[in-house]
Amino acid sequence: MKKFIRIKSLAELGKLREKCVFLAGGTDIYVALNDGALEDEVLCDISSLKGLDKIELKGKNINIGALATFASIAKSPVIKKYAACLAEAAATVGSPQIRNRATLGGNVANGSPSGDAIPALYALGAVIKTDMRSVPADKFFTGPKKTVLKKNELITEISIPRKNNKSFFSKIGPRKALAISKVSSAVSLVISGGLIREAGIAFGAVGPTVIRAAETEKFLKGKKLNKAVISRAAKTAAGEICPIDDFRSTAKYRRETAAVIIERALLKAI
Amino acid sequence: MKKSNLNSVGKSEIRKDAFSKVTGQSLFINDVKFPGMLYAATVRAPKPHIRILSIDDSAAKKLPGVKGIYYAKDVPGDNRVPLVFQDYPFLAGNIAKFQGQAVGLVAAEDPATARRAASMVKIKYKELPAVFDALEAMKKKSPKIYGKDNIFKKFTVKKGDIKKARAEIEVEDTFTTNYQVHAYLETQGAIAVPRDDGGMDVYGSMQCPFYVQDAVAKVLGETYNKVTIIQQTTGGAFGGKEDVPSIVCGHAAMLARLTGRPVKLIYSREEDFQSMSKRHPGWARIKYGATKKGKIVSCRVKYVLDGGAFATLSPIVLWRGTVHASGPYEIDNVLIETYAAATNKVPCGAYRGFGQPQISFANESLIDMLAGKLNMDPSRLREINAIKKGGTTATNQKITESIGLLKTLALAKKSVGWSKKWKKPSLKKGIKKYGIGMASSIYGVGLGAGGQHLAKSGSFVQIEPDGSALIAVGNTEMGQGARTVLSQIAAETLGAPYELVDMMPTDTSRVPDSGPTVASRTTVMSGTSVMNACKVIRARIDKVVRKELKVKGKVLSENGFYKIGNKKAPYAEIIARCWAERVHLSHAGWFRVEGTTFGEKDGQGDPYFVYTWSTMIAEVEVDTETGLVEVLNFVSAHDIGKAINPREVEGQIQGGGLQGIGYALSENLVIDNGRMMNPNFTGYIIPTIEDSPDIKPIIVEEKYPKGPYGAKGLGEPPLICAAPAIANAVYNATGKRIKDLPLIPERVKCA
Amino acid sequence: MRVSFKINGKKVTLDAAPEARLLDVIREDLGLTGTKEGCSKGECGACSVIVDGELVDSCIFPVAQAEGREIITIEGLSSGGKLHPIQKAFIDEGAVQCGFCTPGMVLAAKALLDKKSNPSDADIKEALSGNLCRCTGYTKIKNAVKKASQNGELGRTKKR
Repeated sequence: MKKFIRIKSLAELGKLREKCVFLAGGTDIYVALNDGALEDEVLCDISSLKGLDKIELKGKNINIGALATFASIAKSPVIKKYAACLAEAAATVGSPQIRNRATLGGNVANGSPSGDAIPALYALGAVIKTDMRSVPADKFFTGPKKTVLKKNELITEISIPRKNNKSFFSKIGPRKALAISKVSSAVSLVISGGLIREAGIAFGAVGPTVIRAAETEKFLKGKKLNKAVISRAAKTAAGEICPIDDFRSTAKYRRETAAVIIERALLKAI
Repeated sequence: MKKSNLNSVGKSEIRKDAFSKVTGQSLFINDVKFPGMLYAATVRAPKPHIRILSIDDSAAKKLPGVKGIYYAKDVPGDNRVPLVFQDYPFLAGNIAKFQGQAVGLVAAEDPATARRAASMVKIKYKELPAVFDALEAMKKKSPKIYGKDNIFKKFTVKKGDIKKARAEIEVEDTFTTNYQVHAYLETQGAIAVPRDDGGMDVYGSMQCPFYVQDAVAKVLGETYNKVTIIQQTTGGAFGGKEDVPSIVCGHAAMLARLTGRPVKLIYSREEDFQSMSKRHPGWARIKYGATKKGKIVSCRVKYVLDGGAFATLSPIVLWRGTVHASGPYEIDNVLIETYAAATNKVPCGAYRGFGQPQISFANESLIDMLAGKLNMDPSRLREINAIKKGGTTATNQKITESIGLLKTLALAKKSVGWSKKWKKPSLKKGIKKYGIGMASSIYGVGLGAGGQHLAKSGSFVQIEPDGSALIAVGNTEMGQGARTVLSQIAAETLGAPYELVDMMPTDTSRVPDSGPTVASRTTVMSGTSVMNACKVIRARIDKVVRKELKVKGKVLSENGFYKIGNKKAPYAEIIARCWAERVHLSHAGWFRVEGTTFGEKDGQGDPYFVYTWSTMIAEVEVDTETGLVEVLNFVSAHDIGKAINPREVEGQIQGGGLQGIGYALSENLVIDNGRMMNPNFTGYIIPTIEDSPDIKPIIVEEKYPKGPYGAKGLGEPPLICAAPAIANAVYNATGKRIKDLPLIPERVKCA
Repeated sequence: MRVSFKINGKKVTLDAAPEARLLDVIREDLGLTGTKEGCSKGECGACSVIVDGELVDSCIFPVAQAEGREIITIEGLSSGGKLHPIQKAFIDEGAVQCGFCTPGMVLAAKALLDKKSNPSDADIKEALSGNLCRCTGYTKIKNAVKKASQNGELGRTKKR
């Protein structure tokens, strides 16, 4: 690390001249630092920015400040009610120590395809707000650990449209805590009159970014949720992902298990 | 229930080191500082098999705070680690044989500078042909990295005649196991402090101070009486700090000698993964032949261990695996052929079980497969064939005492309700399937015939004027409870209250070379040595007791009093009386084991003086669609002769058992063309508390008459047959027989 | 950078690089070596401390963010030579073997019991899920936390 600076207000963002890596909870950045990475970077600590950790229901949206920790998200009544799959995902991130420090904004900015919160954001139709613009979650990531963020553009808030939905998160990892997913999925369904009005489905750890199962969402729209529909949806979804072989798992396992977890999630919604 | 007439042995006394550990007071090696201390870092080989052409450390040397960078040519004494074949250099010369092998050492004023300098050293090299698989390495055309055939060692055990065995049913299959990483929470570390008389003191995290003493004396070219090794509180070891601290301490000592200042060397987690020893990956082809009634008449084993780039302990690990390969069964005809092969990967060494877990996975899985073929409950097949009193092992050793195998089987079965629960796999329905499986093992306590030259143990005991007592031994406390258990043995024998007895940190200058703290030998070896020393002191005390009480007869001790008949005197008073009369209240103990044998050509003989017997049963639920295995229940029964401290015994059974469960289900080190892909806790998965069943320990006590208060050994058995118990349970649940560890979901998934 | 915080009830002010790890400041600058380094990646919990009532990994915590906060390390648990009920329970239940994970594990238990005085087994497992132990198999640790939760000295009314 070349330099360490702190900003105390958003107004100071504009005054930054050098390209910065923003530091919130540090659970990703400090791991990288301990590995000897980020040697030529300027770290800009944003943890003292006021008011960026709120979680509130405001009109048609649930607004989550970028500095909200996973611990606060996991236990937030607002999120449990309107964005259940995000609360579920937050509860599985890392460990209690990590959840007390890791922030949603940091997780999004880090942009890992295995970042467990991100499939939930896709499924819920979340919008990532920065100090410059708003970008839908599913347009925010361009590759593994690559986002559309420009130089010194700072995520300030994640906004989730309020819907009368049921949502679920599942994760298959190598153990029950401190686990990087082999495959994860988030599902959000709006059902009325016995038919699926809206479906949001996304998978993590099975592509260069989190993947939106757009075909499967289209298939489900307007349908009645029953076992036959779910089985077909699961097969379709498995075809939309592009898992690889690595030391954590195999493409075959990830694809087959993606179908299993999405099927189980959809069955919960019946 | 028989009332014990023992005061401390057999009681769950509070651990001696619990208070200081629970308050954070205990000093581990990285907590210790010396004035003027420098910090070391290691320069490592960047590729698996290289010829080093040149090294450019000019930029590294210029970093402010760097005191020096040193290489093989700077070793003051002998560059060969003095272990077994002595083929492992402290620092690589022209050739490095595995990625991560130590090539150079940096000494600097602070740890960050040392690491930075080490990363700046540029090694120019030529890559050499490399081999990464043990079976490949044994082929004629493979690149040769050890001797003419890449075979470190081989053994044969031949009992009866396998060709003449009349088997009506046969089963045969091949099994593989992967590395296991110790994952002790405290990484390797040492501090070497040069003495003003030219000697060297070395403090470190270690199991075997005398191995370290050998190594430091050799690397410095120093006499043993000028080298003192003191074990620091050690944060877990499990065999991973048996031989490799010789390298860490040797490096620190070398730098301390060359700089004239104390030097601290602490490994990062990643370099610990990359360079320190591991459990050998194993390959085994095994065959059982039996009568239709289930009597096993023959067993044939071919067993290969992947030793990595240097021999280190492979010959000895192989030997233990060889002796135990056919399992705890009475079999008339046995042929076991074993090999340890060299590959261009990290050298493997000791890990709890020491060559047994790999072959136990193979033989205990095959036993269940045989039971399946015979259409028999696998517990029944084990009962029929279990070695009983008067029976013989694969080496034709007659077992005449202390054999509780059937008891462990019966108690484990009862605890879990086996007879009601065991059903054949074909009867299981559903996506989530329940399964129950068992495995048994035999474990030779101590170093055995293969380690006879190390089978000795020194001790020193002294009682202070205030009645408190100090014991010193050559074995170490590494979390397993040795300090506590040995204090209990001493307290019992001396008739002293447990609270007044304690063990000193292990220091090579206090007792003579007592061999390593390995092979579950400490309770028997150091325990007997301490007991013998205490008996001598106790005889002197007894004389004073008789004089004081003015009575003849046997002196008993009870709750802090010496008693003859109805008369008694308090312990403290008697000790004060002893001191007043200048009675010699200290003694040095020495214990050696005799009589172990092992035929060079046929492996027949009595390789161990006593055996520990075990049975484990696992209950699992398998999600057949995801392959995830949940261990619902795990019962672990061990005949250990005598539980000196039952609560600590339970802790060992639970801790070892969970390591075995991790080995079975999730621990998967991946080395790709010599490069370790997951050298950290993020990628190498050990169980968290969320992943752990409550392991139920069952203690069986078939007294070993020659053991201290009847005790045998316990450290390793709790791990050895855990993996096959799990694999057999998974088979029982799903009907899918998996022959490669670990049973990761990718392998288990069957729907 | 000058940074001030409370540690084990005492206010300290010191000079540190703002990006320095809290772990190193605790161990080196303050000489409190009870907090351990096990992995340098927030993967093992050996470096756990409590900051403003929350359990965190100090190996990935910049000291700049400790400004004005209240930190508890293992040294802060026993007072005047008297052990905290959690420490006593760890000793009594045999929850200590090599001792390296113990400080972090005890603090994880404290962070839990300070919030939930009567935790279920599931609560205990979740609270300790970020603390690796290789020696004990965890059962006796869980028993110790359960036992401590039943100890009246923790200052809460317990259901018997």
